[in-house]
Amino acid sequence: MNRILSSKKNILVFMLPASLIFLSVMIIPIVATTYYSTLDWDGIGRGTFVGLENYFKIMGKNAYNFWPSVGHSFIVLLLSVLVQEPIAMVLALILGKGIKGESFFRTTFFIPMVVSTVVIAQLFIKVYHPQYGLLNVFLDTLGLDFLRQEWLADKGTALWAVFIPLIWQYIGYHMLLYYGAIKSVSTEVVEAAKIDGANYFQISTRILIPLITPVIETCVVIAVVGSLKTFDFVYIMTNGGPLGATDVPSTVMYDLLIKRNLYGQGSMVAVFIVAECLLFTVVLQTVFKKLRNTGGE
Amino acid sequence: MMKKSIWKKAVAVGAAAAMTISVGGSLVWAEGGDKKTINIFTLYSESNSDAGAAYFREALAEAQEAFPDYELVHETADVETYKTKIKAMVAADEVPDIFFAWGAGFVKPFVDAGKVMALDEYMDEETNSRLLAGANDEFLFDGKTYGLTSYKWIGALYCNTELFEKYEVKIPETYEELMTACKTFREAGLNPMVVGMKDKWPGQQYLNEFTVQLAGSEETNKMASKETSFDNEYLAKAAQLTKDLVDAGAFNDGALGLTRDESEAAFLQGEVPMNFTGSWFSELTSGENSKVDGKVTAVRFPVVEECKDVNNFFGGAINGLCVAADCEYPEETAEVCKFLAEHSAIADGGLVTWEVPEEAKASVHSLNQEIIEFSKDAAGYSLAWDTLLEAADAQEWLNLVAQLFGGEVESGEAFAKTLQDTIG
Repeated sequence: MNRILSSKKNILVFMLPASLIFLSVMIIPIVATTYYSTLDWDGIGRGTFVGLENYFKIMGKNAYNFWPSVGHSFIVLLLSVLVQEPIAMVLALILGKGIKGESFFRTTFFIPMVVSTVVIAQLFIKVYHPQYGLLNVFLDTLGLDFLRQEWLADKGTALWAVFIPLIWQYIGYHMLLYYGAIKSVSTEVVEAAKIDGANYFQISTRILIPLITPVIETCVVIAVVGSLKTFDFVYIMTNGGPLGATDVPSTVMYDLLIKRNLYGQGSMVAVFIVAECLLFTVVLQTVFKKLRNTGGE
Repeated sequence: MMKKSIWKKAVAVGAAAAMTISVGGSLVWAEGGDKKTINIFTLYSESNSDAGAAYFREALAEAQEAFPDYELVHETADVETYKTKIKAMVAADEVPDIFFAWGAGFVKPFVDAGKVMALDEYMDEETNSRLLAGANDEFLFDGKTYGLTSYKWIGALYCNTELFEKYEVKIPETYEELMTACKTFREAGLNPMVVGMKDKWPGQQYLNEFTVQLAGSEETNKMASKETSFDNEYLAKAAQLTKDLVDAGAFNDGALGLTRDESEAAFLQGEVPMNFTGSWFSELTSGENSKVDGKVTAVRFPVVEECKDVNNFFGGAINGLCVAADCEYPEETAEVCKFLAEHSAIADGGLVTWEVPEEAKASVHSLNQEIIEFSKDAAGYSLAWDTLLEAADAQEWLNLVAQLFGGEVESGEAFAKTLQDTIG
């Protein structure tokens, strides 16, 4: 085996199938989309090369509610990192302690992840219905009818109404990743800490969390990238409305590509999404690397 | 060791032979002279309760008997999904042999890209004689016909007679009476009318109706085709009349967050007294989810004082079937397309674009009979602008309509001016 893998030619041959798939599924579409973003094209006939005009129009002149939509995706990003991840971590730490019903709770917290996004979105649409939705009816029952809202029709509430199920669904997923990482920490380390008199809070913050930093990094990257390209909840629940109040870059892209037949401009938004995901990934990796190095000192 | 080596070789040869035989088998099927397959893609799914859907499915069943040598494969998608899928299919050069399309601005890019077959050479005199004049105008490009319609629709105000009687409100015939009715119902705690503004297009119906009344259908069509400016007194007045209705609380609470289906469900449950929409809605009032069957009347939308011609209507024929330019069997596919279009009309028998036998008219829905009655002297039609305008312009139009309903347009004049500045 070593003799085979010591030859560069053999290594290239073994890498070839995966490389071809990666090239055809990832690289070529990105390159093609980047080219399309320089065209004035309806996606059906022939396109006209216009250079960076689409970029100037959308990014320079804020056409199609672009920059507000980017702002909305950043709000999702912040909620993911500052709300979703801490909740997932806390749940994982509690379960990792070995409480009664650990297996039951682990499964229960993961169920939202298994349920289809469409189902959850439709469920919450009914919860938010202005007349007979569960939320407004519940408020009426408690005598809080002054808090009734048109949750998905009001520009002030629609954004938060959409983001709640979005954040909620993926808590279980991240919780499971953290839980697996916590469980893989050597029990000897934890027992040694207990012998030294550390309580579980101290064990969690001083031992477990530092030791599972690589998993935290992975989860944060997944959460950030997922937030920047979020689409399904927004599309199903509000379609970017009301009046663009919940637009995110992917709904703007969909609007340009499918509704307006502006494939060149839609491709530009797609390129933007890819570029910002790459940028954030590199930034996060740099930050975590520095944290690891600082921790090592 | 030798035995193992022989066994491996035998398995390898056997697997290769199996693959070769299976490929050869498929080639045999393709050359075998089996039925000619014609793929049909529409939005007339089983779950689609709109009028055209049931009649199309009836026509399809007849077509499968009338063309025993063809295999008609029908795939469907719901309305909003269909708009996405058909564009993706056309862009990917996977155009179904026969597909549903709205004429004018929706199908124009497909025609311009050469993806749709012109049907003129397959339309003999006899067939043409059975088509009503102007039936396929919205599928006419450069003098050629690229689609066949089967029915037209007309905007009608559907009124729940039980609620009108209960609250002692007169079914409105004028704009002032409509305002009075809306205020009375609102004071009684009801949503007077429904509009699903999450889908945006339902709201445009009001503006289009008022514009047709004020400007006449010919002038309105000129606006939609950009032959005249949008910044004109008629559109400004139409937008102002709509805005006044919005400000008076004429529409359902939370309209911006509800789809057309969700909004109309309230009417079908008997909770809302009025719904203004196309005549496709008539069948829904008798559907299995409706609690208002037999309690609804369809009337002409209330007329404004400055109405130019009461016989100009919001509506027309724009829903049609097209044939792919690269379909495998052009002549056969065109025959099936003609059959489906004509027999959908015969199944309907009401607001159709083909001459149909008298017996076909017997089963027309009672509400469509009312619509036929009030529109019997129709002198002109103008369709919904999101189907007349090209895609990008249509979205700007719908967004501006949504802003009007959302209270972000200060006046009718501002609406007309903004529209002209945006897409004019």
